[in-house]
Amino acid sequence: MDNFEPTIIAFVCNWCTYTAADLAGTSRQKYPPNVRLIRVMCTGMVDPKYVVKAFLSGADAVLVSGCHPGDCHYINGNYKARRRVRLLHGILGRFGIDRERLRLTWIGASDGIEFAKVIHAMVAEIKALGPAVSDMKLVI
Amino acid sequence: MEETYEIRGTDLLDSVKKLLTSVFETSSVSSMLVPVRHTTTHVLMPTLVSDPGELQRADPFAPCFPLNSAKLVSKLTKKHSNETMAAVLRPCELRALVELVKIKQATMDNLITISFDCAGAWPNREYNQAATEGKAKNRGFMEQRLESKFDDETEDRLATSCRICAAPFPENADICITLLDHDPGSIGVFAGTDRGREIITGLAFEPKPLPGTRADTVRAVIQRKKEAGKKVFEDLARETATMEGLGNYLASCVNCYNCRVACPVCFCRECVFNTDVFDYEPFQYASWAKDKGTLRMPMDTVFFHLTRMIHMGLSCVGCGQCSNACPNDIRLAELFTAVGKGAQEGFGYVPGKSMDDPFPLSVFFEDEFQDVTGI
Repeated sequence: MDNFEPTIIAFVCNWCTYTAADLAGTSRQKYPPNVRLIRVMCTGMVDPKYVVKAFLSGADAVLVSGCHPGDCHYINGNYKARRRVRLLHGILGRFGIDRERLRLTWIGASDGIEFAKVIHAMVAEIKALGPAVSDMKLVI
Repeated sequence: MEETYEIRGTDLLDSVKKLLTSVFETSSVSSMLVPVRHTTTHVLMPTLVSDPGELQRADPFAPCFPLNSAKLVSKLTKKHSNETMAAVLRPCELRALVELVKIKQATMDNLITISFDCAGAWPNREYNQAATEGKAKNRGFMEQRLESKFDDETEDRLATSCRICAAPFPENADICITLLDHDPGSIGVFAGTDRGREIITGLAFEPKPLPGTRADTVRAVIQRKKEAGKKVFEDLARETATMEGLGNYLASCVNCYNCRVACPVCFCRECVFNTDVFDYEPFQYASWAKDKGTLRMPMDTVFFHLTRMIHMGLSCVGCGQCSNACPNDIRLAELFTAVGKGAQEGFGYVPGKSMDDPFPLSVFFEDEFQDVTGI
């Protein structure tokens, strides 16, 4: 599994983490290409089904990332996301998708460096963990 | 101490009919939902009775649990009505109803709830077969169960969901009927709510304390069932420790969605799995099959069940109707009860316990669950 390259799906909010990713790019911060960013208007619109679908489609980890508590553009979307991710941790954890594979982070719009750091760390840790599902044919 | 009463009839059913009839007469109930024996077949179905005389065919104690009546009560009460209704519900049906009331798919404003010490039920398939062979033992089932003090070892046909149900006793019904440890044929009654207290005091039954041994017996039953549950959940956790394990567990699912229909707390008006989202184009199937080499059809079965867990897991009351509904005998009740229990513990939530506990995904606060972030 030495050359295992994980696939990470990241749901990032338009106002904070997506802007941070943009900033990371414009300020020439480098991060591994294992992450596929999906821009959403708010983490509060990340339906738990999106996360489940990502795993069932072969993602090895999912990142949900938005504004810090108190900073949500829509006032409280990130609090809703937090409850949903807690629910997902409780359910997916039973089936071997541990919480290391589903992460919620708060990365503000000016945190380009922090964004690159989070992706670096996450890719390294998921590489060490290995694939989330070894035989996808069994879980359609 | 809650005031309790005793009703003595010729047998259990007679006693409970006495109670139901007097609730009918004294509380201006216009109709009552209660399991009633069909006149010509073995079938026992929840029936809306408006003529108290018809209560003679009522039988809430048979090991027959064709569906969770909470959904029926939702049909009866989702809009305001001036008529007072009553419903005789198993404890799990009442819990499901409380969950539906919380999400405004039912109301209890004009509803009198009546519940009882539940001896459990047989799987529908078993009951129907026994009944057509004339071996359903509708009469006598509860008596036997009471004699063994709800010992599940002596009742091998009991559904697994009932065997592992840790809450088979009425708590927050308006009128709670107790059966365990009473003299044969008699029942006890106490009020679980203020409204229930008003009704019961007007019924003119003889006040009598519940049997002194009841509390211990109830504790012992719950303890035994919890232990049975522990074993079932441990086996299940081993079997489904990975996504592949879950896929194997659900391998015979044909996407009939019967479990969703049977589930009292599957609350969506329109299920997303019935929408265009999952109505794929033919070329998509072909390309997925090419990607993977094979494509199991129908697809999205694991996705469906995981979505259901996310939607109703927090409200799962463990009634076991999903297992009853499955045409391919997938052990869904164990799966959903176990997953639901885990999810509920994460929010310190007990479904159906109290109207005052909000559904966990309907509220949120700034300073909570800090441990979800920061791994």
